Amino acid sequence: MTLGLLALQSIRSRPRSWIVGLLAAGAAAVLTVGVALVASIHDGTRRTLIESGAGHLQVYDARSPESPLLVFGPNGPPTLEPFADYPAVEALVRGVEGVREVVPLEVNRATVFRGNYLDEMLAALRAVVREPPSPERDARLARRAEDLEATLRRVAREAARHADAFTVGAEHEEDRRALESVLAPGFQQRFLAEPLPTLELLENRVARQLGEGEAVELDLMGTELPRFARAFPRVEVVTGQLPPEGSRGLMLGHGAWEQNFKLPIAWRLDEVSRGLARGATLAGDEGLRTLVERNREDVPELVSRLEQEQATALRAALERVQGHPGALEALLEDFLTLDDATFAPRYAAFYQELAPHLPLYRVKPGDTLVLKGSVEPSPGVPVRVWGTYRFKGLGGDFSRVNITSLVDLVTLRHLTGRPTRAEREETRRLVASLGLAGASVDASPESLVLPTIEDAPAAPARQDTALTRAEGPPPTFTDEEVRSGSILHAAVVLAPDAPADAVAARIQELATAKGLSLKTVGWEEAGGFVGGVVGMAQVLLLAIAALISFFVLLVATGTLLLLARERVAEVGTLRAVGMHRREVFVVLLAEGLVLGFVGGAVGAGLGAALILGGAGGGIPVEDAALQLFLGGPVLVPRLEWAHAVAVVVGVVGVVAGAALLPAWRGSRVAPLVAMRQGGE
Amino acid sequence: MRALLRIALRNLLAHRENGLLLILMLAGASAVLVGLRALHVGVASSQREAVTALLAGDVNVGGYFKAHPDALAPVIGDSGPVRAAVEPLRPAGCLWRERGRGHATVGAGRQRTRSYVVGVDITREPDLQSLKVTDGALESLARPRTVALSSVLAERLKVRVGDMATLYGRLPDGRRNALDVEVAAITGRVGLLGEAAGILVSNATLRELGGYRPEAAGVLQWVCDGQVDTDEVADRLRQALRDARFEVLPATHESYGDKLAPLLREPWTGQRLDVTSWEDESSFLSFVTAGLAALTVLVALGLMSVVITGLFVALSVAVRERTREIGTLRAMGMHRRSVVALFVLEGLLLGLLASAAGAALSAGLCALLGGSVPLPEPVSNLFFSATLPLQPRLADALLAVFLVTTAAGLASIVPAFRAAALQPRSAMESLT
Repeated sequence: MTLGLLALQSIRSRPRSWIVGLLAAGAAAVLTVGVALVASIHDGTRRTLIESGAGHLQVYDARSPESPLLVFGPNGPPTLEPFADYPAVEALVRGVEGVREVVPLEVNRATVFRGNYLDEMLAALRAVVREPPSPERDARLARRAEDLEATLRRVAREAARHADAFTVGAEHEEDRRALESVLAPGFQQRFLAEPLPTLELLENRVARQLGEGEAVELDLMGTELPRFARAFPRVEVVTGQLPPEGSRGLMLGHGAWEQNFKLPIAWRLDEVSRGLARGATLAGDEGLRTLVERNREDVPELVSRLEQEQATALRAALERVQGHPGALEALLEDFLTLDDATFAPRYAAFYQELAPHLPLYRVKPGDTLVLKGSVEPSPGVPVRVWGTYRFKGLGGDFSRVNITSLVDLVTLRHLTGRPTRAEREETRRLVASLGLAGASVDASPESLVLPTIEDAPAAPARQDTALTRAEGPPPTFTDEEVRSGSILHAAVVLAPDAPADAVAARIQELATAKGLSLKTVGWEEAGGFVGGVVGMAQVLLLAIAALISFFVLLVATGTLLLLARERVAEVGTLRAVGMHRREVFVVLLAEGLVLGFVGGAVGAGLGAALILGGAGGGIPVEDAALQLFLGGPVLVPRLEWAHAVAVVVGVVGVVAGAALLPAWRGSRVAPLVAMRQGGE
Repeated sequence: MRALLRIALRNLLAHRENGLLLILMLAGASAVLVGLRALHVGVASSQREAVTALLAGDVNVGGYFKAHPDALAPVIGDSGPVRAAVEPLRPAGCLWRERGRGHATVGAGRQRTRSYVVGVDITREPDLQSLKVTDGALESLARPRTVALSSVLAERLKVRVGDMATLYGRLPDGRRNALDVEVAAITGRVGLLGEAAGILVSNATLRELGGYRPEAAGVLQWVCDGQVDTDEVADRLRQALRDARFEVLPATHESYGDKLAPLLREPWTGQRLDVTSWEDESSFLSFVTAGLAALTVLVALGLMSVVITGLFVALSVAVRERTREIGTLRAMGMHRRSVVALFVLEGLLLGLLASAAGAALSAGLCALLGGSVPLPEPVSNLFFSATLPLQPRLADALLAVFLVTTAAGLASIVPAFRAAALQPRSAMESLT
């Protein structure tokens, strides 16, 4: 007690020693803020990954050459071996205490072709041709024939341009000549006289020159949708509805829908609006000006795709907004000529007045899309779009999780060409019945059907347009069909307080006992690159903490050594009045401890105040990629008492370490020498 | 002045123990700075090496061709006139090469995977030799219908050199095109780029895969040996191409892969050219070097504040301890200004000697360790190098010495003035 008081007194009487406390405070403040930031990044990423499909754990078959990865790179998803018996796996995992839900998963990427502009036009024409004859129908057909001729002339121009970059084969030349002959003078009369043969010729010989239209890449997560939505409550349906139990279907990520299927003009206006919200100006940003310019260039394209009724309504709306009459194209171009002053009102008017008359999205809930696996060759699988969804509160609409689309497992399985168990059985029966038993144990429909080499066969007629004609599995499936088919991995969602490590160990233990080959990975590994960033941030924090400690140690030791020398006389007196060397050592060390503790506590308090005061309400984060790591659009650095205590203990430790040498040196002083020096 | 220097030096030597701690601190600060800079420079240079070997030249003239608004091919349909237009602007010391761009599915047996394809002209590209080859030889790409795969892809496809694989591409009319190719080489890891350039083929093979005509080229790249202001060259190229009546895309700091989707949404048809620098093409990687730079600045600021505090304390105590000495000097007729100079000089001298020693030690250590410390995979991906990339530079060492010395000088100003403010009498009094 006396020793402690002595230490306190000597600290009070030597303001210079406070420097050590100050250093400790500085280090503690920096570390407290750093720890809180890294902790919130860790929590945010953890939340994002766990609550967007990764779950706390992923189980997969131990025979897999790679492990499940929910965020994958350009090389596609990892290679996984399907579970031999998924129902058994699910039953086993569900039986483990702390497991709340098990959701089968599979990730992949698919391409969607939107269909080319001629396809759309021909489909609309066919519909008109098939209407019962009436004067209105004839009038409409005549109007459309006019549009068709303009479009075909455009196709001809584009076909001629083909040779500017590509080799031109005999077939292409033939198609081009066919188009030219269709476009010979008098096209409209000929078409109106005999619409159907002309349409057939156009479909077979002309439309294919335009390909399948714009290819859109979608990141897919295959799962049982209703169960997924139950297990991950952040799923929020934005438009449409979830597919009912047992129905094949696609829920587009809301961000993916906006990005890929919105009318380009509207999308670019949104981009400009987002740019301006960030503080950029049209005058100062070439990128934004380019968007406005592209919108103006896009007007003829948009107008050519509008149906007459839409065009008339749009023109009326534009005349109202602009306050003067005019031709549609001119009015729209005028409307879309924007600068910083006109943007805001026009942007509002666009959505209020014009959008109702525009095809704002090319794909709407209820439409059917044909998915193709991004890895070729892949069969096209048509699937109904039921709606769009987002993960509530996990980053903006364009963060990685919100551009991922959900699809049922049956569709995804067809896309990758992986056979179900039933199909494999059937193949085996077929092989056996042909007397080939034993020839190929591994025979699967895929290896029988899909050609491995295909040198672009010269198709006599167009085999499929992407939008409608691909054949696929039936629109509904049974529970048995999903579960007996090949399932690659499953997300395990735990109860709030269940320890993931213990659950993983228990699963492993049970699997070994039952002879199932299972493995688990945590969210960090399943998060791939995203999970890796968190680990990196933690390592970085440790390195910085080590660096800070090293320098605090040096400076504090130096300062305390100097102070120890200054008080040789004082120590001499204490020794002379009978204090032991050990007690002197303790007093000097206690000084260091007190300085470290007070400094550390004040510093941690300061850091905490900084966090709570400066960022108590959270720091809004605009960047979508960052939002992903922070688990939402607001960064709220969370201070945990345990962290603050750890920081203080660490700082005290460092300062105490720094006090060791000075304390030892100070206590070595011989009383006689000290007294003499003091007496001088 | 010489006398002052001598006194300062002697003082430093006299207080060995404290001096040692201060020296350790100052040397440590400059060593950390030099080490961090060496890491930053090392990562930047290994990144640049990887980027310019695989992804881009220092300056690139690429093309995008749209036969119709819905299809985009990353190609210059007729590269001859473009080359003729840019050739007069080629800086001395820059070589040109032709590269192909695209992506494709590659399949072998029942395995299929997808990656970006890079077309190369192996006979013209000594630079590619820096690419690590784990098996086979890149020279074999000169033979038609051969392919080099990254080790990641090769593992996934379970192929070895000599095996056959199939490349699947798409023709502009949407039809599939497939080529049987022989695996000629397997390339080693190249950090985060492994997935951005998994498939290497000859330009001719790529043309065959994409259905491009013989005059077509993906991108014309200039590879320069000296320091070239790539942005300035790119601006001039853009202007020259516009003058030659080519349509040139506006400058954006984006890579080719990031431009594909936005360009596909644009309504134009025909040929557009795009001029980029290697920094543009690797913009998606800049977070690594930007992060390291930010870290260096942050650490430098922290170190400076620690150095200044530590030295300030030490010198303040020293002034108190040396009151007698100062009194004597003043009594002997030394000016106040000289006392200030003496103390500041002491700080500067300490800073200079310690930081120089620290910098030299750190630079030596970096040179020794650079390229010989193996890194774990996630870190080696970020750093574009299998071993710790450290490149100490003289300029960085000098900068560290300058910064630390300046900080030391600054820290000694207040104690120096305090020493000078001592009255000779009061100073002398402590002698009695």
